[in-house]
Amino acid sequence: MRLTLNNTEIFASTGGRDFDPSGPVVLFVHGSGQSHLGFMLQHRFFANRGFQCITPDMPGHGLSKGEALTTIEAMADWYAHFIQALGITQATLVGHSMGGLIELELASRYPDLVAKAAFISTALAIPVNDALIDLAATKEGAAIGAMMDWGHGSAGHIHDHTMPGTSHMLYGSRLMAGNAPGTLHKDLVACNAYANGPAAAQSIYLRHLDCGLRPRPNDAP
Amino acid sequence: MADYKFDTLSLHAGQSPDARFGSRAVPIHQTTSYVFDSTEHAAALFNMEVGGHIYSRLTNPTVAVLEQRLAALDGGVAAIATASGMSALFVTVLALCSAGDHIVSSSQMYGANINLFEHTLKRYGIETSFVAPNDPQAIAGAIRPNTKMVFGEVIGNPGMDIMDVPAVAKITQAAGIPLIIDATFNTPWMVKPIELGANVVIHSLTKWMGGHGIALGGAVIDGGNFNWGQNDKFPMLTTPHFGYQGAVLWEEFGPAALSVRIRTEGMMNVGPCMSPQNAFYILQGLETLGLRMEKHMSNTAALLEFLVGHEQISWVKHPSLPDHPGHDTAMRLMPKGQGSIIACGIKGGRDAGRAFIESVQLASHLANVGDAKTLVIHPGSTTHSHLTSEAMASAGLTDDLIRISVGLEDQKDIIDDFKQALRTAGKLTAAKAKGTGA
Repeated sequence: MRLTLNNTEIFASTGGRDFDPSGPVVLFVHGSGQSHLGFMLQHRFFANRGFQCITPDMPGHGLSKGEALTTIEAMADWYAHFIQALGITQATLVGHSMGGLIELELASRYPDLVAKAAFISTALAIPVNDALIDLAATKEGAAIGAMMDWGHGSAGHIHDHTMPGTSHMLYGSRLMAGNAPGTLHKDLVACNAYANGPAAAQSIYLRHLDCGLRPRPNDAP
Repeated sequence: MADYKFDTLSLHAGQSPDARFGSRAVPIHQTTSYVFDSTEHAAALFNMEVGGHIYSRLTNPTVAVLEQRLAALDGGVAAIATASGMSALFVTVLALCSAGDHIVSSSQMYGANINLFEHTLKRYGIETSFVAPNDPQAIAGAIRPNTKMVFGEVIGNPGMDIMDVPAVAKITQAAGIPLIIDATFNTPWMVKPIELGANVVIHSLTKWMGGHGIALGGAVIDGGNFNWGQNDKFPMLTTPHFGYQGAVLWEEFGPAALSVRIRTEGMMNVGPCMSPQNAFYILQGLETLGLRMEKHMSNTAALLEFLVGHEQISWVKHPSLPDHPGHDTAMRLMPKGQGSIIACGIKGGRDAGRAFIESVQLASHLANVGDAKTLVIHPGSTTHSHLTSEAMASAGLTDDLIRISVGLEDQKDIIDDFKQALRTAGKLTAAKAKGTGA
C-alpha cells in the first residue's frame, strides 16, 4: 500500500493481503535502520489468520521516501498520524527494538489508539554506544556489520537459516543498506536521546502482562 | 558482522550440526517430500510464513546447506542450486525477461550459452546482442530501452577475455538493469563479482566449485543489491505474482525478490532441481575450495613457465602473462590468481595438436574444465573438427589451439607429461612433413 503522509510518499506492507481498517488491526513498528522487511514472516502469518496487518516504513526507511525523523517523540506522533490517516480506530502494536520505544511513547501520548502492545527485544531506554553512533555517521556499512554481528547467534553467523537457501546475516545487511543514507545514524541518535521511557511506561494503564524469554541457541544460560 | 573467513565458510556455512543425531557431516536427505505437523503448518509453509520444506523440487535440507554456503561465499542474500550451470542461467532469464525483451551478452561465452541466447530464446521473442566483454563502451552502446540484463564472465570462455566488472557495473547501474556474471572460471576464491558491483552470480558448480568431476550442478546467487522497483522494467518482481497469492515480491521480500521469483517460477514450473546426492558431493568439494585453488594457481604458474618460450609452442594465452590484452584488469580484479585455464598453440597446426593430444599420458583428453585432474582438449580435432581454419578463426579459435585445465597433480609430473607429449608430437609432425615432401 502506498499513501502520502505529511507530503511524503509512504509504503506500508499489508502482509500480502488486502487491508480493512475496520478489522482487528495489528501494526508492526520496525526498529532502527530496519523496515517492514524485518517482519516479513510475521506479517504474512498474521495477515493469513484474519488479522489486518499493516507495517509502514518510516520516512527514509525501506520503500518510503523522505528523511528519517530525529526523535522518538516525533516518530510516535508520526505513527499516530499514520493510524488516523488510515481510519484505524484502535490497533494492537508490535514493536521491535527502537519500535518498542516508539510504541511506549505512542501508547502514552495516544492511549485511545492502542488496544494491546507487544514488545520484542526492547527496553525502557536504549542507550547507544558512542562508537557505534560515530561509526554509523562515518562508515554506515561497518555499523550495519557490527549490528548484524551482535544481533545474531552462532547459527546466524554461519549463515544457517530456517528459510531454505537464505543467509539471514546477508539479507539483514542488504535490508539496512537499502535505507536512505544517514538513516541508521539518525535512528541511533534518537534511541540514545530518548529518556521518557520509564515515565511513558508508568502512564500506561496495564491490565495484563505476559513475558516471554527465549535465549538464543548456544548462549550461556 | 561475524567475520568468518573464506576457508571457514567453505567448511561450515549453511550448516549447524544435525540436532537429532549430531551428525557433523551434512546428512543426505534423500527424500522427495516432508511430513506436515498439521494442516495449519502446511498452510503456513505454502504461504511462506515459516521456514521449512515442502517438496524437493523447491527446497531440500541438503541442497539448502549448499545454497546457504554459496550465498555466504559469494556475498549474496540467497542462492538457488540447480541441476546444471545451464539451467541456472535459464531460470534467471525466465525471472527477468519476457517476449519483446532484449539481453546484452558477452560474445565470448561457452557455446551452449550462445546457442541458448541466439537460437532458443529468440524463438520465444527474446533477442540478444553479442558484444566483446572487454569493451565496456560497446556494452553501453548495445543497451536498448527493452534490455533487461547484461550477461558476461570475469574470465571469458574460451578466449579468456577479461571483463572489467566494476566499469560494466557502473554502466548497468546507470541503465537501471542488473549485471549478471557467470563466475564459473573465477570462483569466489579468486574474486566475488557481487563485491565489484554485479547483481547476480551464476555458477556451473560442476567445475572448480565441486572440483572433482563427479557431480553436475549449477547455482544462481542473488546479490540482493539491485533496486527492482527503480523503474518499470521488471514487472515479474514489482507486480502481483501469480505464484504467490498475488504477492508483489519486491515489496514482500525486498533484497531476496529475485530468488523468490526463481524458486516459485523457474524451480516450481520448470523444475531443474539438484539432487541431494549431488549437493552432498559438491559440498565435499567446497570444503577444500581454498586449498585446491591455491594449488591450481601454483601449478598453472609452473606450467606457464614451462610453456612460454618452448621451441614447439608458438603462443601461450593466460591473463597472468603481460602480453595478454586483459592482463592489467585481471591483475587488478584477481590478484590472488587469474585462473587455471591455459590456451596455447602448438607449432605444426592441426596435425601437431592432434598428435599432442593423443600422446599425453597423465592429462585426460575430455570436454570439461575445473577438475582436480589435468585436462586437455584440442578443439581443432574434436569439438570444432568439422570447421575450416577460417570458420574457427571467426569463432575466436585457431586450429593449433590446445586448451589446458591445470589440475592438482605434482607439477613436475604435469610438466614431464607435456614434455613427452610435445616430443612425440614433434616427431610425428616432422615425419609427416618429410613424408609429404613439404
